[in-house]
Amino acid sequence: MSDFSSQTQPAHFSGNQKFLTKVKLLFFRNNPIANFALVIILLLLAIGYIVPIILNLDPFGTSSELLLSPGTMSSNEVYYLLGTDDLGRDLFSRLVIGARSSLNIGFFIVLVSAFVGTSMGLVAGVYGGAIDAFIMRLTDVIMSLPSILLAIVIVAVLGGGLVNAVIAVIIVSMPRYIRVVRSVAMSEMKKQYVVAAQSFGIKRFRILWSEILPNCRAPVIVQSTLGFSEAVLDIAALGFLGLGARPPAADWGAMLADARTYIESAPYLVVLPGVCILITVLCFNIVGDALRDRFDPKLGDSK
Amino acid sequence: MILSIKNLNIGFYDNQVYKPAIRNLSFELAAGEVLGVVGESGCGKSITNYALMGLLPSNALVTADRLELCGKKLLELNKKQWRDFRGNDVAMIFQDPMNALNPTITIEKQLVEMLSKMQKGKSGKEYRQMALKLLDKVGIPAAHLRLKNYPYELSGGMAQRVVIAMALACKPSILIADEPTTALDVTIQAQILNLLDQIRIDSNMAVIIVSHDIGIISEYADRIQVMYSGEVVESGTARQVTTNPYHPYTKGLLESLPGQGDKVPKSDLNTIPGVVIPIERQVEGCRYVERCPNAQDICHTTPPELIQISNNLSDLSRCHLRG
Repeated sequence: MSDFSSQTQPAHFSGNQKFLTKVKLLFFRNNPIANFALVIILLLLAIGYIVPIILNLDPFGTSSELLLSPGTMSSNEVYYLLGTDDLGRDLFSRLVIGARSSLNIGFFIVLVSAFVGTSMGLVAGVYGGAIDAFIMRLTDVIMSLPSILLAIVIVAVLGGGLVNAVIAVIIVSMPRYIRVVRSVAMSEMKKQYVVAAQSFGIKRFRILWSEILPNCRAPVIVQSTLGFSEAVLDIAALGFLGLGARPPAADWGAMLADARTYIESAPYLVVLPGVCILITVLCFNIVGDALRDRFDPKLGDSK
Repeated sequence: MILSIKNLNIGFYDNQVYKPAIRNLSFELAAGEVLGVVGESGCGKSITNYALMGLLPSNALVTADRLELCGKKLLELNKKQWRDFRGNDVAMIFQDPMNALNPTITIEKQLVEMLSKMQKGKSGKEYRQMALKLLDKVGIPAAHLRLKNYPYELSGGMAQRVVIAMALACKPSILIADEPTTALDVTIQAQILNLLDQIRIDSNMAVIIVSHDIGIISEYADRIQVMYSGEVVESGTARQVTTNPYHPYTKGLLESLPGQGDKVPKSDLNTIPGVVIPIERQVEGCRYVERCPNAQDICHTTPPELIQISNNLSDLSRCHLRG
């Protein structure tokens, strides 16, 4: 009897247990691959934002030791974890600073394109008519061209450089948000709670803001995660083509482009930034897919 | 009279073809009065309500000799006037409370949003207090805890009480209850209807209560209007309509209630044969003729008028056969 009563006592969580519960919510149930990808992303964030503070990294400083292999010691007894490039710059420093740069740019692109795309999608879905037609034809035009090709055209028009590359990627990223949010807005506008809000005399803009926008959260989060990986890839591609970050900036795409000449003599120069791009894009895609599964009502809360 | 309707006609344009939905609807409603509107699905009950709220789609055409609510000519209102009118003069509660509440927002946010629209210039704390009072008024226990809940955390009855609270926040002159108990358990239905009745008495508010269940309506309404395929087929005091029905459709509805048709309960319930004709279909004679057990030749050729059937001016029926 006492055993039974003790089992039915309400659970009192300690601070640690509450923290663990919150941590558990961050991860995906029954999806170890997504959890692994999420851990890698968290590691990337740590490497990009914490490592440069702890270690005094210099991505621009050159040395006389050119093309040192990873894990070798220079003549003046400086240890280069990932070796040096053709100008004697520390590859580890450049990759870490490149990670921070890629993450910053990715976040900025996602933030702006999600904000503008969501706003335009909401307006199109809620107001309809000529506004909707105009916005959707615009997105059709943008989506009818391959994103990287359109980005190249935009950069060619605006001129090279990181800022213009970012603007180009934002423009090509927006249509996906517009489409996703518009479809949500259009379906939500038919729901009874929106009709109820209208029946209470609430303005259409207010309905858009407080009734429909909260329902766009899940698809926008999913699209942002997938959009982040695309942004990183597009910026790297533009950097590789010499249309992105200008030398000597530590940019993964530009590092790949610079290393092409040494693909046989120093393959690590190509492999390391390439692997960084691959891992970042792959992990964000996996997490994006897992989020899509989690938010999909047809799959329930299985993920 | 708070609501006055004369010869209301509603139709919809479908690919440039006009399809009538409501034909020559006329009735009046006084403050504190309850009008029950009864009929099968697809008879036009909800369309009428949506017209009174100005919520019909853009392809709808509404005409009337008179359509006045709280002294306002509804056919002359522009978009902004409609918005001010909705909520302030008329409010509506819907049949499925779970769908009438936004699933992603807490009850508090939804109530505060309503209150801030109706009574501007107050602080968040004041709005919260008002929300608490409203929830208390509609009989929600531990209201302060419920404010933090999302709709899915409430039972159907609780959710409907929240919807009623939102409607009350508007302090309307008329409350339209569109099948307010359909989605609820039988035990909860009576509670919700009693609550609506209590609110009506307290605030002298007119109520239009729509249902397909004439049994429920007869208990709460002062007057009943029976609709069939876009027309009123019988109208009168609740007592007249339920104890001395005139139209065969009303008789059919009452006889289909358990234990009503016969003195001795039986295993099989009475049913009305056939199905309701589509609301937009044009008919030569009476719209009920295909299902009517008493149909005569005249019923097939001449549409019946709505005629007075007792000393009471409001007791009307649309039937060629005199009783």
